[in-house]
Amino acid sequence: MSSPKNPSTLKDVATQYLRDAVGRQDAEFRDGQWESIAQAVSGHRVLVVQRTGWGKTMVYTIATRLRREEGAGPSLMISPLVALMRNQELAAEKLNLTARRMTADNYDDWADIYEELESDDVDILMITPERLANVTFFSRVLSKIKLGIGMLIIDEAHCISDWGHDFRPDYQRIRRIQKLIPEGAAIVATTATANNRVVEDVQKELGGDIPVTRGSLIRHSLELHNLRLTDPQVRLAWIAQVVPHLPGSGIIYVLTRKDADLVAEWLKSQKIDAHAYYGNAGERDKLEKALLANELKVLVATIALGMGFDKKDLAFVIHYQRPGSVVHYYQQVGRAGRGVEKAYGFLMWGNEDEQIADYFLSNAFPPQHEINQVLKVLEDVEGGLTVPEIMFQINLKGSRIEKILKLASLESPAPVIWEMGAWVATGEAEGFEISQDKIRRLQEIRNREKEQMRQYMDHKGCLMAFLQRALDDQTAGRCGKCRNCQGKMNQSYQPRAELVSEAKQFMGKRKIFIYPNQKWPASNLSEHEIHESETIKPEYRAKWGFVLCRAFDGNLGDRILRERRFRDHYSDEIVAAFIAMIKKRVSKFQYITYVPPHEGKKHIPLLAEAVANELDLNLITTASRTGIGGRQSAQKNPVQRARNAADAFVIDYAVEAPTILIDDLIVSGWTLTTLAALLRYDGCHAVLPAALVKRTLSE
Amino acid sequence: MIWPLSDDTNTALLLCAWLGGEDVYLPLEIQEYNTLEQWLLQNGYRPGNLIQPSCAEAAAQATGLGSDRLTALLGRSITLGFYLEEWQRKDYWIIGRRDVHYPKRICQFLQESAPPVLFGMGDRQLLDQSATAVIGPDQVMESSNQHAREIAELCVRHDRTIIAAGKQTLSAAVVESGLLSGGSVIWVIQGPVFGESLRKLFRRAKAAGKFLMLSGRSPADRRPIPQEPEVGRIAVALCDSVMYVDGTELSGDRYCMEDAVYSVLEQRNCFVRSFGQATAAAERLTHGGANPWIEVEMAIHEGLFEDRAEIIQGELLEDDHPDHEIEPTYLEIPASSKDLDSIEEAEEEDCEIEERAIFEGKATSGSGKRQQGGIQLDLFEQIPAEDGDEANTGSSEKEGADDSDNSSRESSGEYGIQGSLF
Repeated sequence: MSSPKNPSTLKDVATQYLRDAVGRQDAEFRDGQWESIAQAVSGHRVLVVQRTGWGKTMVYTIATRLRREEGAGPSLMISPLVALMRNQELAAEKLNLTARRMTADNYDDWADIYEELESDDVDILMITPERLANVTFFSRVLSKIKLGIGMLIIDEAHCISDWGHDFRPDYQRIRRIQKLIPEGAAIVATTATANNRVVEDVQKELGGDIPVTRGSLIRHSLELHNLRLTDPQVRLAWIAQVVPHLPGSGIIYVLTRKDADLVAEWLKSQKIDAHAYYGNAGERDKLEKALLANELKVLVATIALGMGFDKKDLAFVIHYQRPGSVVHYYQQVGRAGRGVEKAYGFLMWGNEDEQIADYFLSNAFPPQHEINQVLKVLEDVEGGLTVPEIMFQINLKGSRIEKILKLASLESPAPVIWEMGAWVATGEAEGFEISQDKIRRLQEIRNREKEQMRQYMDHKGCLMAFLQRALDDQTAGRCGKCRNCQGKMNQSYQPRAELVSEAKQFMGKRKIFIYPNQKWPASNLSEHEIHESETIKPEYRAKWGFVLCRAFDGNLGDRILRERRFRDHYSDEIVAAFIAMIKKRVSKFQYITYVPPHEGKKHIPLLAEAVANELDLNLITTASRTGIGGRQSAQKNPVQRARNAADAFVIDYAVEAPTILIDDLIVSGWTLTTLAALLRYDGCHAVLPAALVKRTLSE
Repeated sequence: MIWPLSDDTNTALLLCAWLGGEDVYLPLEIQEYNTLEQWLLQNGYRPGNLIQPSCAEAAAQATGLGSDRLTALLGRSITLGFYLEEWQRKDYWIIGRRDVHYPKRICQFLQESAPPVLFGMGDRQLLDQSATAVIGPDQVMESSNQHAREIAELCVRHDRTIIAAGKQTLSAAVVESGLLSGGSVIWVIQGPVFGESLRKLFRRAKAAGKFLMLSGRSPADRRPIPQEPEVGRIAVALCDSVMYVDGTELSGDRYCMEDAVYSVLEQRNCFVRSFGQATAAAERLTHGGANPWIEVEMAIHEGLFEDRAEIIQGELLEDDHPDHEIEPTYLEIPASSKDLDSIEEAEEEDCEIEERAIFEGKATSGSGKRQQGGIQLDLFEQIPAEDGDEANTGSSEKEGADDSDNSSRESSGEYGIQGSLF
């Protein structure tokens, strides 16, 4: 609890901090800024709803500085993204505050941070909400903070709300935590993107009488354009044509990592300095800094680069696919034009968007019977299981299992707990049921958000006003700048035909590798010696292989999947493309064999025969199916797939010479890995896998 | 309801709970907290009022606890909020000494040294049931463990809750045996109980409402404590009778079980079982009035499992409690006659003889008065009943009626036994 100070003196001090931070001695607080700081300094709660760039960071950094000067402990900040924290570190530095983050990517610094916490040298400690799940970690952190946490900062507070567009399960934990904090503790919650319903919900969670500062969400510098370009090659061509002419640097948002790689590689091939950026990219920090310093023209990013990334002169944001909701879109496009007079936001969408959106929707919440499956497995063991161990026992995707465990572990009391490196059932596991009402309610919200996004794409009026209204901004009016306000609704955005053709070729020629697996996903998959150890012995491994194309690429990949399903052989065009790939990339192999098909299927033998004839290779039928196991497509996780493939084949005819092993569809790769290992076990010197199309387990 | 916590319990946690990392301003010791609480009550406040700076300041000055210290401890509210979330998610319940659910037996027996806050996990109703503590020092012989297991099984057969205390092999044997036999167990330990609760046997028993773990220390308190007398004292406070299983002269007694049993010799039926040469601890207990282990046949008498007095929930400082008007009264529950038919009848007749002896209790009188060496002890004076709990609202008339049915006690005297284990 802080002792009250003379408010006018305090405001003078705070104003000086503001001026020092922004480097302008005539700077004054914006409407609501000082009031919010004063609330926090006097140990109260405040909710700040303001557009990005308004200066929310200034509220809690100055409040932290003032509270620290009064002897309070450091502030703890819960922030959803690492990218956000990096900017906040810089903002804190300007106020001579020491901000530290403890995230998965700076683990090596943790020992130092613990020491700094112990000696009270950290002013703001930043963590992601997920970090709160690690009790051992969190207890250790708290134990180092001798004065106790002085202020709690909840960044992107709309995530607290169930109604929020960013359903981050771990925010539920924050929701409960702040309710359990006795009165008289300073809490600053901030958000830029919350409509009335979300604001009310967050307000309710933080205490009904919490003061709210709220401002207009319009970004005057932003010129919005919606582009209906459904084919991926057309969108790629358009980007390549337009980006070089756009000022400064920008971000291209995509929905999947696969697309981030595709777009970045394409732009690089067009001599545009682009890099892919997504969740686990090791170079995220370096790439962000490069973009901040305008050393990059464009970052191609998933949602991982979103909330809080603060580059004042970001000149454009392009959406290669449509985001999940209007609020997401506002948030992402709002990265641009914070500190420049003119910036662009281009929204494109494609045929694949609907499918991806539906996938995310359908996978958002697991059904009760799957929850029961996971909990039952955990209940039956002593000491708990890891996700791969659970995957071994039940036929569910790893990501699905993780989601179930995550959601269940956030319940209070929780039916499962992460303890000592494993998921363990608690006494609450038996009979645990997730609230289906709640799930239904959230799914309805997601569906409404999806529908609203569709309306936005077809909107004929002012695009900025649509976004503002969606966020309940009462100041919404005609922006006069967007494509619709400028009367360009019917203007064509078609790129040059030759560039479209080049993009199509690029998509067809991209090298897709089959990485030789080095470890089985579980031990003792079968009694065969190839499964003797979890590590696949080098003498049983396949070589690097190749795949012709990806599934759902809007091109050849889609055709292959269609023909695989509806025809009894592949068309000449597909066969020719496959032969061309083998011819180009494989030499010194004189034998070719194939994955034995299921009964009645001839696609693969015919394909192999065509390749053998064309390339003058010896076609051999080395393996047959044992009849053990089910269809690989019914197996939902890699462990089940490896297990299913483990006893599925037998080698009838051993071959010593290096052999090409072909399949039409590769998903987890365990069929090819297993057959390659069996062939090599029987004396084959080298096995090179090749496939027509690659699909991921989630596709 | 335990959650949300009352303001008083929240404040008690802020002041007394070790949350880790404390070395500048240490949490209050029990005596310090008692002094503070007493001052607050005398001045028309409650602990929850300390959130007001003026109240905290005045309390700090009057009690000499130091303003800086109290302010720092009360300023841990955000940190505590994080811990509370974790504890709630792990299904702990937390009871403050001023909560109506705080176990009355602990208040009554430990008085001012009752922990300001109790942390538990499992069905709290177990705290109200007939219970036998089976405790002993560290490092007992296997024969002692075996004896403890057998006692636990007997308790289960006679529908008695078992109380184990501390983390030694003996307790583990008692807890396991009790739960495997399908019984109910209270395990009093110090520090975090959650890790223990994850064992398959324990989590299933907890889910079935048959397992409760209890601690007076915050789960975040990682301080090593060489001796933990509180564990033994809580265990004997909660029980109706005690079986002390002797160790060897080399046995340590981390949890001060011997002292705990000694302190309760007047109020509980205490038995001591030694194997071979009795240790000095066992000698001390038997000299103090504990019953040396006897052949069970000798303990047979009528009314073996009938009647027990029960201490019900209430509040330690009821006179000061502004919210709950609790009438101080003699506590007593009408005899709940045990239906012997429900016990596994004929084929167990022989062992029943033995069991009956073991399960005779000093506290089994319907009067709520325990007999020790021919002296009637009124143990339940001034114990309030819960509002609306008519069954527990005793009266002197009823006492008289039940006193007339005390033949079992007399018969135990015929055999020269001063009490019986249960």
